[in-house]
Amino acid sequence: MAIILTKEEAKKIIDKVLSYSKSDEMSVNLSGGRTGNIRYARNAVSTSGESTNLSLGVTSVYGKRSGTATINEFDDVSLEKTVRRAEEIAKLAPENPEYMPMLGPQTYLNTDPYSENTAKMNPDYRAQATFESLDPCRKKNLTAAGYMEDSTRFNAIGNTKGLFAYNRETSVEFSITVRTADGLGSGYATSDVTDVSKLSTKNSTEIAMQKALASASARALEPGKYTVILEPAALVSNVDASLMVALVRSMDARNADEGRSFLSKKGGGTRLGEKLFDERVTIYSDPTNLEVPSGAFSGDGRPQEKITWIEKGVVKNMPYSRYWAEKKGVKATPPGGNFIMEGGTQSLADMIKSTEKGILVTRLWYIRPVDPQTLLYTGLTRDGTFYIENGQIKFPVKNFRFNESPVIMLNNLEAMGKPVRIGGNLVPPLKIRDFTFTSLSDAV
Amino acid sequence: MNRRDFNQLLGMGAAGIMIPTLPAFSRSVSPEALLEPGLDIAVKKRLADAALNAAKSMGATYADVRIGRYLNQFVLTRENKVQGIINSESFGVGVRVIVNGCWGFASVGDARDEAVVAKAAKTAVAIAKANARLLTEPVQLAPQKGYGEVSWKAPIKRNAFEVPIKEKVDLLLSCNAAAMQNGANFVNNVLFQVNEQKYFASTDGTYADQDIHRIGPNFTVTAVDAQSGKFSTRNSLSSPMGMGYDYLQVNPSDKLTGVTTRYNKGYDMLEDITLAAKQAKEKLTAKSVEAGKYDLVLDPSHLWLTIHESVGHPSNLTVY
Repeated sequence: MAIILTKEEAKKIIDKVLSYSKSDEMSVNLSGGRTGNIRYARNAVSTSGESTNLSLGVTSVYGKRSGTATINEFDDVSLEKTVRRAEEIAKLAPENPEYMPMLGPQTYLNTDPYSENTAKMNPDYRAQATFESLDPCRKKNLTAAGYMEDSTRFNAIGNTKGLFAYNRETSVEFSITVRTADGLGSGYATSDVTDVSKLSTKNSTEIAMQKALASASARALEPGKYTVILEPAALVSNVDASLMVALVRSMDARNADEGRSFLSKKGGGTRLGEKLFDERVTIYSDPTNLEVPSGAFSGDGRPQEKITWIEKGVVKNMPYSRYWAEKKGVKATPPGGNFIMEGGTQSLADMIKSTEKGILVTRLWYIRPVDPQTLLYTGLTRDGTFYIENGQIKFPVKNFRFNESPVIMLNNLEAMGKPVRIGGNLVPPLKIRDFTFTSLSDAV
Repeated sequence: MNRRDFNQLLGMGAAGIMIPTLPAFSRSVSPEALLEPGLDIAVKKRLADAALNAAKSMGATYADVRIGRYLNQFVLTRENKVQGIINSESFGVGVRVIVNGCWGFASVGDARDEAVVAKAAKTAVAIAKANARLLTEPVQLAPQKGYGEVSWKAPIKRNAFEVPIKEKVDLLLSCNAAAMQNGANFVNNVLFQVNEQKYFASTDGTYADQDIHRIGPNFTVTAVDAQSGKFSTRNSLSSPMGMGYDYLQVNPSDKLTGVTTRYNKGYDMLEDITLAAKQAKEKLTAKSVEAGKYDLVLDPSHLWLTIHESVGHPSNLTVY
């Protein structure tokens, strides 16, 4: 059987499984995919591989008791056996008082997070993309370490109440760190796409090379409050905690209602409708955005729609679980599949040019929470930190530890550049005043 | 479960959201499925030999095979409710080869016959060959003698997967109740259990069968003062352990008493969560430390990470 099933193939299997149901409600989840990767370090490929998988899960429900069983064989006897088994488990499960009945048919937006170019990637393609990154580094006596991962997958859900949803999706993520031969200069760049023909490992590598060469003889500046330009990679990461992802993921309505969120209001309730950020801050989700398309439904089958979380600095919407939304009598808006922060039209070069004194930050890492109440985080700069004076990069500086909250940061907004795709989201580079650096680090 | 998923699960304190992301490619299964024996060792050896032979016949100078069946169970509770019980199984075969001095790898989920694993070996060889053009220095392995057919089982006293769900739920809910009685407004309490059945075979002549168990009880207690709008949390002082359910056996000789009691190989969840609730409440009105230079006494809950990052990573040649 193929690993990426079409909508029709997936529906046929799901409908057959649903026909075996004897429980109050039943849902079927069918998913599969392939990932490929290539990793290099010290200018040589270290690991490279491909993985495939396909599986089917059945959840049966009696009242508020549910049970799940799965299988990766697709003959009629195995499928029916799996349904009977899920039903047996459900009868024995503890009741979940917060269980919500399954959704009926839903209407979904047409989203298209899939590219045939990415689906067709093979070992030769990955080797060539890596060559285009390694070759310039070798020629300049620089040391490259990089990782590229491509993924092609589908997911289909259906239930006895008539819901059916299908999504197929591709993505490629590439990141590169380049160091000078003496190990004193380091530069980083990252790029992620839906369609691999839009990925240039060469262009990303060139940026990392420039930063490595330019950051080699870093000077120490006193820690303190500085105007900073944070590049998108300093704001969003999928492999570590990051300031903007922390903000977007901390907006859950239930946590705010329960008094344990930065969106909880003194005396009770939430800060919905309050202006908490600079009036230029607008953040929304949109699965149909052509640059960052995402799936049309959330894990429990709710439609993903365009929704504004923060508009002109005001908290407009918060994500709800279906249970909490029903309890509060509001629409059950799921968390978004992507997020888009509006920005300006300036390029990074324009932003540097208009800076009298400041620090350019390529990337932040090892970010950990300090105080969940204020979303205060700590972490370090790395892979290219530079001092700017009179609109020009003057010299590289030693890395800093920072203590900062995205909430405070988005109040100290000086300027925003043109948004770029990062980790499946769109985020602009930001110029922030009074960003708090607390100490120096000798790490490169 | 990789390090990132594991950190995600254990780093859930901040917002009290504790529904874990399932490890990549794992499937939900019934609790009974967690007790089913994996593949017979003779079947594993046959699959492994099929992959190793296929790799060698296509020019591999070295190959190894991993057959993994990873079982996880999460019992998720908050306050007086069971939010969910997740049982998952992940099965797969991975083949790693060196061809023309270059590594290649491929894995498949549904790999119960020789033809499928031989095909994975073929993909791994194709990947190694494609990357060989980038090679400047062929991979050279240090000599390794084969160990023959060997096996190892974690020395657990009580398999967590054999403990009835009800016993686990009763423990978590009684601990949650104790927290609520001692000043907590919210409790998220998760019990995480792992059994990794790993089979490794290589062209060096090793066929190693391993049965690994881990357990990780983990809670976050939250105290809220609605009047001032402040909240504070305190996490459990347990550790993920390479043990069975025996880690949850209360044993006085495993306690290190002090201002806050700490635990070695026996974790007293009830005692810890009771103190956690009191401490979370105390923290609501605690004065902040003045920034400056101080002498510190580092508790093991801090020092382990310092050692992990400053000694562990550099000495295992991790390039981060």
